[in-house]
Amino acid sequence: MNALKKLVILFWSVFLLAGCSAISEPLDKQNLSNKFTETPDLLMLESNSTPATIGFLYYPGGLVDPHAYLQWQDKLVTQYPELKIITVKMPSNLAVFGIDKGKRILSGFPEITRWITGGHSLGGTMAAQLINDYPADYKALILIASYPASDILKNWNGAILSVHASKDGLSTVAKIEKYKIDLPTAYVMANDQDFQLPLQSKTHYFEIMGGNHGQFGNYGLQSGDSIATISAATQQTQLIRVIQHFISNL
Amino acid sequence: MKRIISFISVGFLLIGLSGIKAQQLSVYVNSLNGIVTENSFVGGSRGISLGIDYLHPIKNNFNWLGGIEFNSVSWGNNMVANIGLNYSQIISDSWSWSVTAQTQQGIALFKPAFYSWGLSGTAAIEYNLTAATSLSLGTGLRFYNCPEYKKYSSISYYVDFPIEISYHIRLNN
Repeated sequence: MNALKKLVILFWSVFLLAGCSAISEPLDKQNLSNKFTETPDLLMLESNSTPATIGFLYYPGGLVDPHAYLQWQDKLVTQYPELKIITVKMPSNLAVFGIDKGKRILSGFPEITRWITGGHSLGGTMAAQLINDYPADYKALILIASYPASDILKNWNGAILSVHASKDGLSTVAKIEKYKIDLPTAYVMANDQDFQLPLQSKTHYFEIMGGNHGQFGNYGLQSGDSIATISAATQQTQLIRVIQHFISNL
Repeated sequence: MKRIISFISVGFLLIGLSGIKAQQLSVYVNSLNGIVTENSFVGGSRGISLGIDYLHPIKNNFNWLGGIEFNSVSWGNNMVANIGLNYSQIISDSWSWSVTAQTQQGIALFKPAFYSWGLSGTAAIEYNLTAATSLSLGTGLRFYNCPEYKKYSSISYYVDFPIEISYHIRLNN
């Protein structure tokens, strides 16, 4: 029965490790205005009329349902209709188990001439790992409340945008500051259009004052997060603006 | 829903009433390969499941089966209880085959948790490693569904083609 006891412990360890995912708002309340497609592997948003030429491969945060980012992604596509946003569904909603899924998805979109990757929290960390594995496939990385696990991109010659929030209780301002050393040359932006061109081989940092970790998506207050002093809509509007300007300058 | 609960209750009752011949504990890992969802035909791996089943003989090679399973599927994680009926047939000293029909009842691990359920039918070939242990390879069809998730996603059910490897221990050999 010793073996049985070990099996039960193993089983519960897997259960606890995998955990419960935060759920998004219902689809019918997301009011998506662009073309939305869902498959078992991905969620895709693209303009109803403008053909996409730039792809944004997005990795969701750990234990967050991938639909939680659709609202701001939809608005970003409206602002920048050449952009197609593909959110990758991850095993157990943990990007660490599906880093390479992004690579397999790319080949299905030959019309895309430039690829950006990025993600929220753990998703951003794993997107950085994806670039480390396939550096030539991507022009840029967008880290949202996130940083790489090591200095793997220190010498990468692509463009990096790092967006974080002042009231983030998980990817805190102190952590973002601490891990700047692992990324290419830092430039702290004064506003959402303050880019130092060319963008390549630099990391642009943009801080959203009053925002928190969870409001980069729509899934409620996350355990360990701080209370935001701005609304999710305001935080996401600032996120959309800075990403839009970043892509325009690529 | 009432029918499912009745089925589970009768199942547990029969497990309690049946005689003990060769109870068996099985640990398995399942590779879930997608076939179809409500909006698309799909291919490739959709996730994995890990589980422990307890098999209890009834008569004429039939066994009741109950267990727990953790699975990682497209919407995240599931924790389910398995209950089903198994039929086993010995081919030789080393080999046997079996078929199993079962239902899964449980929760999709969201905050808050959603009810999820499934149905599966599998066939397996089993090889005796020792007098008390064996290994089997099985496949079949499996349907699983999370009705509440339909509000949040375009995909709330799947039909999968599972490939299952199990390790069995006969408890009273």
